Amino acid sequence: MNVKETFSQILSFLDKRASYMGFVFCFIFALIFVFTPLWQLSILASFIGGLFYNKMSKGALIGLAGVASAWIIYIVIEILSTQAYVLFDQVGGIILGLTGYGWVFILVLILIGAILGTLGGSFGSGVRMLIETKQEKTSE
Amino acid sequence: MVRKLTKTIIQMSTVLVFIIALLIAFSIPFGIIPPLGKFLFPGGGLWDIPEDVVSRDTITAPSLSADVTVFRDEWGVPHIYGESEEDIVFALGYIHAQDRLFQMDMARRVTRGLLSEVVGEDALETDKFSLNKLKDYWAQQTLDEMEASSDPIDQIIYQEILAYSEGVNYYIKNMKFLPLEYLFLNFKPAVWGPIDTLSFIKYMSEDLSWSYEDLTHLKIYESLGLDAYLELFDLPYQIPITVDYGEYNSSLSPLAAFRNLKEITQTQQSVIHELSNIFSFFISDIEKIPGEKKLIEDNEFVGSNNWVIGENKSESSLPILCNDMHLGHDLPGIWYEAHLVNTDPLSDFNVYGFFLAGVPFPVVGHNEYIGWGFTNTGFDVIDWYYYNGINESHYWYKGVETAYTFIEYEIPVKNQDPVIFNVKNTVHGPVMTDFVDSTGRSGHEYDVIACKWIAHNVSYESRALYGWAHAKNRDDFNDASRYFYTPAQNTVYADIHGDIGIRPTGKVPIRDDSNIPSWHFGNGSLPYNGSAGNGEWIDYVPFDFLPTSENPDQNFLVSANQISAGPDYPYHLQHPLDINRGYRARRINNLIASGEDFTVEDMKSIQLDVYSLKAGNFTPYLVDVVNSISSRDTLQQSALDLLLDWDFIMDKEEATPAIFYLWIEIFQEETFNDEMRDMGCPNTPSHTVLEVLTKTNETSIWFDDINTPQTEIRDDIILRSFNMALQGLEDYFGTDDVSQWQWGEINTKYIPHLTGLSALAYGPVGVDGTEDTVNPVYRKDIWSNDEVVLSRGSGGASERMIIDFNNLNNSLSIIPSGERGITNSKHYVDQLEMFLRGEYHVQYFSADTVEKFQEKWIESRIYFKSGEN
Repeated sequence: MNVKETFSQILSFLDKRASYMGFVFCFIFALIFVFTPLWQLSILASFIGGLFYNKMSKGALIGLAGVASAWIIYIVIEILSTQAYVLFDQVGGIILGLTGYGWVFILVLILIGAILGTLGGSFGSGVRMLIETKQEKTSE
Repeated sequence: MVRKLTKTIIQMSTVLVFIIALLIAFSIPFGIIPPLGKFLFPGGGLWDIPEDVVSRDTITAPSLSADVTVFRDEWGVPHIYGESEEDIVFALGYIHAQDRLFQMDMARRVTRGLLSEVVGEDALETDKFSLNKLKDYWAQQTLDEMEASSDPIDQIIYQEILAYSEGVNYYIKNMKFLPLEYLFLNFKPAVWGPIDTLSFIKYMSEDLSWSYEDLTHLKIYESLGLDAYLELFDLPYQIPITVDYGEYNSSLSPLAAFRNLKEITQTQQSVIHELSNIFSFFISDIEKIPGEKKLIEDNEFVGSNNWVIGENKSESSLPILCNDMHLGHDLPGIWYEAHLVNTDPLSDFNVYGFFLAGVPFPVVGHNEYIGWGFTNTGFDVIDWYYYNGINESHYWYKGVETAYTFIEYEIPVKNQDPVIFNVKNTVHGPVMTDFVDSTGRSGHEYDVIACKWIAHNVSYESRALYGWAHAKNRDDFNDASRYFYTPAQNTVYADIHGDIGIRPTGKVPIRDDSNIPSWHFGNGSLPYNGSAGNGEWIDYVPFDFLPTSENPDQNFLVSANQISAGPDYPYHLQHPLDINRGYRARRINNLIASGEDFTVEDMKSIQLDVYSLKAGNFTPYLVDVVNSISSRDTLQQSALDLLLDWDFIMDKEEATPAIFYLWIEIFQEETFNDEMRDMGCPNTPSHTVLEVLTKTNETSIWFDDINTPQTEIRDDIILRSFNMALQGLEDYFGTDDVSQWQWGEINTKYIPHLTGLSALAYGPVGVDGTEDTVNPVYRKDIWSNDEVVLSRGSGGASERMIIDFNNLNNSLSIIPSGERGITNSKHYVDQLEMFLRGEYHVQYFSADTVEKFQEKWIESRIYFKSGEN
């Protein structure tokens, strides 16, 4: 079996399970990556999730859902188990000059996570579409 | 196919552009806002900051000679047990860094002129000014001398400072997160060195003894003339701290010497006027230097109380020692509590005290034998000199062209090359006029102003702190006190043997005033002509001749920044303007003199006392005047009813304190400000002087308003001030229901974070008291520009300590912050909240072995193991 065939089989395998596997992969990687200091890896997580789809809109949706849900879980656990909210309230006060708005910062944070996921996911799907288009062209 | 491919590529390119834009946007700082990705996003930055230390930690450190155990109690106070003091202070350094690293870092940077390194060129002028004060220079000289000393005690102290630094650095090297302030300011802590520890002494000395009062003094003298000056800036009602030098008599106050001055000639008057102008411009420019204005304002907060009662006053017949040092408040607070125990069977070192985070020795506290506490003496230890300059490099000194000397510094600056800065010195000290631009007069462009300050010396305060922590009796305490040069403190003392004492301690210069002009007060009270060699420091008051009292017949001793000694004491120590007006001292003396069988609970109630002696003395005059009004309006009647029923307690929930306090502020202004403004006098005479005038001279010229054609007397001004106060409060509160005018609504406490970031501050919250109650709140006036303004007091007791020598385990403490500077820690403001409720915590001092520290007291523990990692 050559490389091209292997790759096609992998894509085919993923396609069959794409409806949920993309989300699962994106979510798991995003959850793993929130324990590293490299926030940029959240884009990689959604990129991986996006690879499961050959439509950029689907990749974007899965990236959004995967990264946002991973960040939400992380944030909720941190806030419930530590005084992280106090810090966000303080940072909100420092940046906005208003205290009591830490929750706004947290919502914005989740929104940013969703945007990063959307972009990474759609880019991942785009890469997949490019590869598939190239393969189709080659097979023609 | 090609069209689909093109579309995909265009879409992907757009997405990629957004991705790159976000990657860049979240990776670069915007102004003071750090890179947001690293700072806010999950996985790092804020999310790494734990709320508190882990409940159990084991740390292996190669420099330890044996294991050290640290238990933190429920307030986060560390109790450190080790087999050698070097090991103990290593652990203390680690713990200090764990709890207060940013505070330590900032304090050393401010003191040593290293702010620009992390903040950038905006802080360059502040750094230059700081270096110019020579704090860093003299800290380094002290360190060099200590390192080279062959004295075994000096070597022990030096080695402990080294061990402490190692502990701090061990934490920095292995730290797993950066506190919020570092993340926000986007820098990392640098290595800690022994110089950083020694510079703290200079930092405290600056806070408590650097002063521009000589210049204020000159301006008052110039504007009022001698007679008015002596009348209005007198020091009535003083009760000397030391009781063995005669009864205080106003005619023998520190101002007494000035009464012998002859009449000032017109020529002399013009000299004084010219000098006064030069220094007025100088001081107004100095206030523009960042940090210097705060230092000047914070000087208004410097106070403190300490007292000790002996066998006939204490229920147990053994002493109780109390101390609350008053300073400007910050978060985290300046003091850090710790309990250090040497478990070596040959050692009985067991000390509980208040430390500066950055210094391995307690500043105040107690061991198993003795206890000690501080109040500031206000000793006059800085003099200002003016010189005739010749050019940039030379000035006149005793008729000789003399070259300035220079000390070169290379100031590191963030994002740019280091800046070379030279501190220019005369024979007396650093030239300060290079920082201002308004002193140059035509033909006098090279004239300069310099200062000589007691901290411009090698000094061994750390040896005093070490000695006190190890003292076993009065002799040990006295021996250690010899080394405490600056900032001079009234050090109260007690021990388990029943001895009590107080000792104003510090190095005080003796000036040669033999050749000063006849108009000059001498004693460093006014600026000197440096070129003429006036006011040279020729010696210091010998330690054995500093005032002291031990086991007095009255069985108690009190200091609250009042005058140190009575008229029989021969040396000049204090600047009249630096002596507290004495309401706190009078109140504490009254309370203790009139009682007996005091307990720790009684001592608490005195520390928390908010009875206003001032109100007790003034209110009868106010009530008499209001009572004499034939037809009182509703507002006047309501206020009078409250005043008649008042116990003079400055209770935040009552309205009467607000009425009284506003009235007394306005009464003071209405009495003096017409003349003071007219004459250009920078200070208003104190409430104690007003008390004398009110009680003894109702027709004093100062009561007359010079802006009206008629002649006013005391009662006219009392009534006018009363009506203005009622109107001001009605306007501020928006109601004529006087019961709504709660004192706590305008008298608040606000504790700023040391960065000034309001989101990290605490308050404002309404509080009891005033600046003159034993439990004080220091702040700006509440009457400003003819209206009531909210007062946000940010100064007061910086710690409270009560030491019971009958049972040291019964001793109590509290600080108005918390042990940890980590802003999301439960120990960030836990003690502050207790402090505001008037609560204290126990010290667990009886736990002098690891085994005696009960499991239920332990919040967290660290085991330091000796050996390689």
